[in-house]
Amino acid sequence: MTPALVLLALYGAALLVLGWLASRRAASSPEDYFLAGSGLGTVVLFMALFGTNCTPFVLVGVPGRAYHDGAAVFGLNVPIVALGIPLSFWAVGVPARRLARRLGALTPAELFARHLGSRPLGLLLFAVFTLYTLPYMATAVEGASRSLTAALQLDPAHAPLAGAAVLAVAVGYTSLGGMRATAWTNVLQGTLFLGFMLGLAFVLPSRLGGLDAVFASLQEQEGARLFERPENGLYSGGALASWSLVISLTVVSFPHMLVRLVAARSEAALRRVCVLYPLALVALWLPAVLLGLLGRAAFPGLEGRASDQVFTRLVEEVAPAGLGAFGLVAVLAAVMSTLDAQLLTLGSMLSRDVLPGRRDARAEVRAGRAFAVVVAVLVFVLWRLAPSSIFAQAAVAFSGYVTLFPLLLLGLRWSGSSAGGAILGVLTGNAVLWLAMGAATGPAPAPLTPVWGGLLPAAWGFLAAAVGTWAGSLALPSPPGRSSGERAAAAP
Amino acid sequence: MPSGRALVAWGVPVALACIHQWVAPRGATLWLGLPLEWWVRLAWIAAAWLYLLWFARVVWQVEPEPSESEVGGSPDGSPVERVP
Repeated sequence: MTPALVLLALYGAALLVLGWLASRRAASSPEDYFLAGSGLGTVVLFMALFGTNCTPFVLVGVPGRAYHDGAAVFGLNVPIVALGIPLSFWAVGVPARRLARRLGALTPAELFARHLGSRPLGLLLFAVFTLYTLPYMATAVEGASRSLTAALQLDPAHAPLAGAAVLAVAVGYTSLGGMRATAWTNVLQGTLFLGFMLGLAFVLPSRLGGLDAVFASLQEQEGARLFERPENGLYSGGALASWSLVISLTVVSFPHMLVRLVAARSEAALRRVCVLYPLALVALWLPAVLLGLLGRAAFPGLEGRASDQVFTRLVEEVAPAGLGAFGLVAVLAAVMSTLDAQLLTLGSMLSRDVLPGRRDARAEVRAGRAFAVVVAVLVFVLWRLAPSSIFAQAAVAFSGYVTLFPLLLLGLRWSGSSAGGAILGVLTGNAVLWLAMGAATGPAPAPLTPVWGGLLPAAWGFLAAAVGTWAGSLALPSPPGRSSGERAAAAP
Repeated sequence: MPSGRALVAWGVPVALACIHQWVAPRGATLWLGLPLEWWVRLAWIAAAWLYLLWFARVVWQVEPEPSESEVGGSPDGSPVERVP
């Protein structure tokens, strides 16, 4: 048995044990299963949010991007989200949590359906969340399968088995312990991938002759290009402004992130998480961008997407022997820490929003478990049957989630918001987003190509959604004098 | 007339966003062993973090946690009336 297989077996077993332990702590109530009894304290809440937020894109995609664009990749992404994510947690997460507790809502779609008194709104939200989340999950399984196949030197014909194994373990511990299991495993997973990246940042430079020597060599070969912000592409005026908007607001609009905010034990815990968040982002992203520069020095001449191999090649060819297996586990940890949250959240929405029925508490939890399995099967089928273009659409997901932000913010913080306005805002925002992406031309993916006025499609979708929600709420107001609670009582 | 607190709460993020949008060191070199670009962004993040500390302490009024009887949701997840 190779060290990689041993480590993988230990990692998988640890996840299942945590899932089993969580299931022993869980009462058989839907709130306990779907929201961990709204009892996530500061550390677990922080790791649950951070682990869910960070995907293999940071470990693999960011070094690949920094290989071409240089040090500026850090500035493109981290500063604005270090401020934007905590503020969006406050703006949306705090009222969502207060309201969910008051209305007894356990899913994002249920929260807005009850708050605004409209079951069609809940179904629409479920549809939009699913539209953007399923392809995103399929790409995660694809990435995990590729990593496993390459690291274990499996026959490519066994790739479906590798993807199925990742899904099976994720759905196993998720359905065992629900939100509590996913939060506890996120502590392990976040520690693994954050620790691994920090370790690499300390170990790798010395193996390439020291950081000074690497940077001097890069400056000699490339001049200042890799050390200053480019002036084209995403770094140019309108594109940079709209990219900043997208990455700041998209995270709180992920249903699997919003539901974790609702599961906070207290607002004080949520506040502490917001203060810690920027520090963790810097600790993860600075090593990731550094890896791209180190890769440029170690493996010059990679073109296009070939730079995505930088992480793997640095781990296997430059890092001390034996770290390769840890690198694989770090990538899988980043995949599964997001995948489990998505399985649970989509499963909970299927159970409570789409097929609610009348069930007792235990039957509700059983349904939640069964629907997590259903979502996993759907993801597997999509992954195997969908044309490869579906994976390109994962890039669309971030833009799509942004169109929901106006509804989240106005719906929770503006007393004039209405179900009609919310539905109009979601439909308008998504219609404009897809129109704008259709108008994009050029080699870059449509969501990352500036269109009208030099703005990215997501910025237009966001603006349209904001205007649609506002104007729709004015034109189609809720019946006067009905509070959120009264609306809830009226909702089916 | 907006209060001083409101001006800071709204003004600082807007100012930081403008700095993020338009300030970029050119002809970049290394400083203390790292790209100057990173120092500029880290200084920005430090300023944003100080703002967040102030925001969390001054603007963010944490709501007292309700007692069990006030927390909504019957065992089957349906909403219940808030106890006055």
